[in-house]
Amino acid sequence: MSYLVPGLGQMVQGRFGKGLLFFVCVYVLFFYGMYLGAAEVRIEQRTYRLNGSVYLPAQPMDKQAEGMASRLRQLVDGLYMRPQFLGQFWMGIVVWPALVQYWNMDPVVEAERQRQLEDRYEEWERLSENAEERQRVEREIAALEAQARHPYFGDWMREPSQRTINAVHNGSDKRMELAWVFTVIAGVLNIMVIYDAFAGPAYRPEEPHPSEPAKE
Amino acid sequence: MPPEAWSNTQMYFVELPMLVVLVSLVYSATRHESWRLILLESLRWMAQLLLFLGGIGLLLYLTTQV
Repeated sequence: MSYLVPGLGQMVQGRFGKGLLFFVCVYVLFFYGMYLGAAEVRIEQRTYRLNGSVYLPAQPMDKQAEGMASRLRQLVDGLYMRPQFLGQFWMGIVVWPALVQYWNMDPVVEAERQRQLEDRYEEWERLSENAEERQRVEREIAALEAQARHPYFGDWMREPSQRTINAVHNGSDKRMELAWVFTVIAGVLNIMVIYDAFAGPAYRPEEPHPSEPAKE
Repeated sequence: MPPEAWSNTQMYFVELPMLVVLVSLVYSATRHESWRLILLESLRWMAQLLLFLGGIGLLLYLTTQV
């Protein structure tokens, strides 16, 4: 249960104070990392937006391989490209949207959609004088962007385009790197919280702390 | 204050203390049940982390002066 929600296992066990401490500390770290990773930059007339530092990239599958072997290889390739997710995964239910977005994304279809988006944006930039045509292209852009949105999660924890990642990272400062560091540390801390819920604290209450003299 | 200076100020006075305090608290809480021991150990870890990070920072600063 501490995997699903940090500290929930301890609360269910009756250790409510510790559970609450874990819940607050781990979630503050994680959501502050998400806040740091949400950034927006404007380059020329186009706005690039990242909504967080938690996502799992979907790499194109090997066309020769099919089925579970191909999906597994795709997952391994995605984790190789974004090893941060190995730490973020342990945050539990709050990162499940990233898994849902990953599962629903077809990288080949997504690459084609990105190509069409780039074509529309180039056309939009060329049509600076013609407001009516610009509006038409804006509607097409909105429709293309809406195609990839999940019905429940929208763009939340969805892999952004490489162009967006490059634009935001180049236009931001070191906070973008801190963002994923915070979320990974939160996930790794939750591994310790899970172990505490499973096996209890490292020092049992009846055992003396190493700095205290043993009771005779 | 230019954005770069604010970012460094924010990092050293907001994000670094936050990280040190929260990591120390969680780690100490996984080692003990008694609140007194949790707080004592977390203070010990905060001091150790700040000394360690400060030492690394000093070392890096000295290497830039050479």
